[in-house]
Amino acid sequence: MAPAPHTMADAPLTLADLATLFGHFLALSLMSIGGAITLVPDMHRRLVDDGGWLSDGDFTAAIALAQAAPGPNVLFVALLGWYSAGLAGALVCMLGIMLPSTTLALAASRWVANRRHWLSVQAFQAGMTPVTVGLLLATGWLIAPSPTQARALLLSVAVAGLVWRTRVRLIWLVAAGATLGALGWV
Amino acid sequence: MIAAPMALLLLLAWLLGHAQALPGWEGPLQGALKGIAAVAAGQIVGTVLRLAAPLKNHVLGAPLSMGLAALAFALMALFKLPLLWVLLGLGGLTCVGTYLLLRRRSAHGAGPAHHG
Repeated sequence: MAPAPHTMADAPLTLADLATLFGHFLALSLMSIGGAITLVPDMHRRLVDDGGWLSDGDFTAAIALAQAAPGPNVLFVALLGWYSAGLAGALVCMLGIMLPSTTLALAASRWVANRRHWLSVQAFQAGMTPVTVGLLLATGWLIAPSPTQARALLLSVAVAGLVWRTRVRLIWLVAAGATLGALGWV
Repeated sequence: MIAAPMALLLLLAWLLGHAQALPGWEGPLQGALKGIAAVAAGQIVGTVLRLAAPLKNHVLGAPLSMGLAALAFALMALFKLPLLWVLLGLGGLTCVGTYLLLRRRSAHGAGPAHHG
């Protein structure tokens, strides 16, 4: 991997490229009903499958690093921008995802909170729950190791069980995963 | 409040990119990243399993709501449909169905609609 983040086919980055990235994340932000992490499958479709902005490996690394590092979850968006188009990409993607959700979503959540006795608001909240769960599962599926990597898959299954059934701190699991991986056991 | 952790994360990615170019470092670093990615995937699936518990008490009933979650998963992960379609199509249908059930329930007085 190149030491500095690369762009598409190493072509020079244009303002139009940055505007495209910004537009993607602006649109995604408006669809973030269950948090930014539920947008990951659509981000993969837009950035990796259709746009060719970054490789599948870099996409997975961006999400993994952001999950492992302290700070809000939404920061994986900055890393996706970084691997797609460097520092300018990181800033543009973060701006795109944050701009609507900090203004519009704040107003929307207040509006909803004041009307939570409304049947339609309750129906929306309850109705979206299965969809949100499905989107989150798709996110996990997308970054999960391939079936050929048996030991990595075993690690994922073990972590899933621990997160489900225990309250073990994520940082210990990340440290264990990084150590096992660095030693070449994953 | 988001600038500091973001700067830290970008610095980490930048350092990682440079460190992987050093002789002898690429293997262990790639391995560590692979391990972290496996943990991240497991963490997300573990969260799904925890979040699936409320589906058991869903208005639509446990089998249907879990089936809808599985359908949303398949449409996104396997068929790679745009999120907007899934939200408007499947999400819209689910919301309308939930609304009709909630309305019928409150009309029958089976449960007040005033609780969250």
